[in-house]
Amino acid sequence: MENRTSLQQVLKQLTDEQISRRKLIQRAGLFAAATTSVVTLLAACAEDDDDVADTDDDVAAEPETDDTDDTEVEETDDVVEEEEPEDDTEEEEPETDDAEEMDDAEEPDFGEGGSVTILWRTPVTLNPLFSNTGIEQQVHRSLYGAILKVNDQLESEPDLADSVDVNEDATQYTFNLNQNIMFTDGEQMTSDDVRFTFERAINPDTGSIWRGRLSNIEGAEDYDGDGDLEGIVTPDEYTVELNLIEPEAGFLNNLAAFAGFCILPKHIWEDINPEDMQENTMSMNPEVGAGPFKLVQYQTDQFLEMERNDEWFREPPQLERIYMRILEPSVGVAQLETGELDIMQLPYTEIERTEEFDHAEVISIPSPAINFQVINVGRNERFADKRVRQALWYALDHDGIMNAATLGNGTRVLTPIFGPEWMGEPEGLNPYDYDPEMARELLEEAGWDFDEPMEAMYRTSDTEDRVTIITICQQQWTEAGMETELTLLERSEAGDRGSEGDFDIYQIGGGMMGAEPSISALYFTSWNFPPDGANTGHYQNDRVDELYQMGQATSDLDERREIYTELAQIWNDEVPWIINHSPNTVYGVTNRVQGFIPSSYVDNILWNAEEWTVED
Amino acid sequence: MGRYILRRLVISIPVLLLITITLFLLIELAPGDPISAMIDPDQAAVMGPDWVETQRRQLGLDQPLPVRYGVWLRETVQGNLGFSYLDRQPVSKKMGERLLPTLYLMAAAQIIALVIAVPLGVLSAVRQYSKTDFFVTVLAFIAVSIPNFFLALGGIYILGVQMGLVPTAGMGTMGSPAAMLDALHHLLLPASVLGFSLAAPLIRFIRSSMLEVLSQDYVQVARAKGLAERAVVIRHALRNSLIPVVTVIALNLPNLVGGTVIVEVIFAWPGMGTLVLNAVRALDYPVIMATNLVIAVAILLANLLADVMYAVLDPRIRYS
Repeated sequence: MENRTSLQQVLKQLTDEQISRRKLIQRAGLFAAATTSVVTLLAACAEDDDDVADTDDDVAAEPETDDTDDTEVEETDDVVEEEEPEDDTEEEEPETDDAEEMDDAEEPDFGEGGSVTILWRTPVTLNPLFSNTGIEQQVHRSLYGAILKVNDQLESEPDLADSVDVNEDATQYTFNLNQNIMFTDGEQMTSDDVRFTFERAINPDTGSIWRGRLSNIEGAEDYDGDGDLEGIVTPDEYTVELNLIEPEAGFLNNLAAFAGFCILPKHIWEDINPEDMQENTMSMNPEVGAGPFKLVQYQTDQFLEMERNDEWFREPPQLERIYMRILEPSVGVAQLETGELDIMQLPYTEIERTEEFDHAEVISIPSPAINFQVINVGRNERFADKRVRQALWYALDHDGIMNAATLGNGTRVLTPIFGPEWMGEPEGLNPYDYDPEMARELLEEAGWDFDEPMEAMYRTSDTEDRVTIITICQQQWTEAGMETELTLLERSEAGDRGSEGDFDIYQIGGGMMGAEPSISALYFTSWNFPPDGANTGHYQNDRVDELYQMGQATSDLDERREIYTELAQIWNDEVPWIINHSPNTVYGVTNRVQGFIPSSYVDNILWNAEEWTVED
Repeated sequence: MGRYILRRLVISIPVLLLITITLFLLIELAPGDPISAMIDPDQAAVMGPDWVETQRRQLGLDQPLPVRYGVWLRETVQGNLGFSYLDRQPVSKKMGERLLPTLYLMAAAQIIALVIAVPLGVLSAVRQYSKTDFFVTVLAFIAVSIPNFFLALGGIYILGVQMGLVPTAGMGTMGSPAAMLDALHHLLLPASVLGFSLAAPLIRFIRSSMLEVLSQDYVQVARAKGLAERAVVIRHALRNSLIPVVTVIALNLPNLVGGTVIVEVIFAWPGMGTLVLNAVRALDYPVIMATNLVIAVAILLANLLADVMYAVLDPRIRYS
């Protein structure tokens, strides 16, 4: 206010020609300084306000705890002194005092369990129905609870449901909910909440990313939000039966991707129209859930803070709170070094440096992801002959590529079927060991046109290791006689060209195919051609189609292993993709975190956070 | 003067319109569309084709381009900037959350730049061709040539990790309530890094402006009438040499709302630069349009301000 009047006065004086230019400059300078300090104060106060609001909103919010090094804050005084010019104006002082008093009033109460800080990325949403990345979904699981959660080996484990029964032909799944689940607002969770969440996820108006995954539930295809969905039966308050149209032995894995199907509180959400759910403020600031932790605050682009849910229906977590910190990986490593950060996924290039830290260790474990190049089998005649595709694979020195890209943190993989434990690596596969001569022979047999170059496209969003891979591939394919040109594209453009089938070679990577063999059906079956599915290479083989169906139709693991082994052998001979390797997941973890079990899938760090403790 | 300002303001309306139309067309011409940018190929298929249709319908992307622009314009004029495609949150809220931190960081950087640049620029002009001048010139060249991110990462590593003097990232200590000192402590490194790079061109500019003024006749007169060199430099020369500098600073003002991507990302500073970058990556039209509109308005206003300031400060200039 004060500033505004003084500005008006100056302007008035100026217009009345009562003020000299010299005076104006002086006042303008003062005004600028004052404005800056006001802005600074506003920023500080705005944060204060947020905090207060949060405490009001959160049910039974605990006093703020402070686990970060206090010594650091104390050091501030002398450093800040140097910044004086900025807050030199007088009117600011009383307010500074206010801010400090507030500080005293909210003197942090040291919680018992301590806190853990984990590297994160800016989330798009905190509503599980709309998130399509695992890195967010693991936080959703911690806040809402999932019907089943996913363990380090990507197997389903009880969370909200104590157990699940599957019938023999894998068409009926019965979930037995725990009978003591309370939402954080004191309401009990029942099968009604589960039904509600499934129905909202399937309702097309909601726009949930789950709709496609759940389309195998009876009645899901035509469900429009009216009445009950026929495929969901709730015989009592704690039992939920899902009836599927087609047998689907991999359904639990489907339901568990990536951290688990979270259940929303019906009494909170039922009055909100499906189409309004995503834009509702609760999607960014969920207040009621049934997970082991509850949200304290999300500070845009900075961090998310969760605290222990003392009313959790299982043994409440030991840990007082978890911070999900949004940082560049390179800064993350710096914070790991100072001990500000406890857990992060390490880029391969940072492993060596991190290994030297005394207070942290590096964990490198096999992952369910693969690095691969899609070959346009169906829409590009040059690659229709399988000998050409085999030649592409023979022409690559896979161990060399793996060492260059992952610095030795990887495993050779020969088909997209390479796990989980019951499946193991199928036998009878051609290893396609590096053999450029063989590649050339095969190409000549197939009548390859050595004069016409082929194009390999990759994306600006590709990580460093994937860029290394495609660059070496280009070189080695060219050496083998297949001249290759690289095209770098924006993700959305590459995606469009991919689904239109307008490409030769398309480098992608990731996924979690090692978790369950049926996942790869999405990429190799004829009913998954784009836009309905992800078979961008338009690969088609009737026997492959049949085997994928058979694999879903039984829950007997021996039978499934046999089916998928045959599938892997066909795949390995037909080569619809070039698979380079399965890159390891690498974590940097400080030694103070106890009970952390590294998940093979990188975005599931929090899967057992409720069992962690810290030792300081 | 009043009429001049009014005329400039009226002219900026068609300019702004043209900017928004161009922007809308440019985004439309960019390859890909928001839906395919939103989803990972890994997940695209799992969601089913009708998911894409629903999204398209909900976002109004099924409408033809002129209709979409018309709707956007109508709503914007009424003060409704729309919803982000990516997370469906109101654009005004998303921008509101980031404007203040950006303003706070950039204003501090600008001040640090001035505090560094004015004395050094003056010093190197007064002692032209001396060792000091040489040193300042080299320093300015170094500051111009070192990329922000290098300075930022170096600062984090040396000052933050090795010496533990400053926090490595963020706007405040996590878990403790916001406090003035803590906020300033977190501001110190990012603002200094930015201030250092902003200072370099200013030093050069002040030096040459000062040199020009020092060779003016009235400076000679001041010296001749026996004024101390200090008084000559500060009272006569500096004041006048700062007039063009004010224009340069005024033209820097749009940066206050535009933010700076690299430094914001490295220091986990929730600013406009990061917002714009993410919006462009996701082809999030409403956010791209709104942020660019704000920046365009800021540039137009800053230009006007620069012109007005010039006339106010230099009596030889008159607009009619």
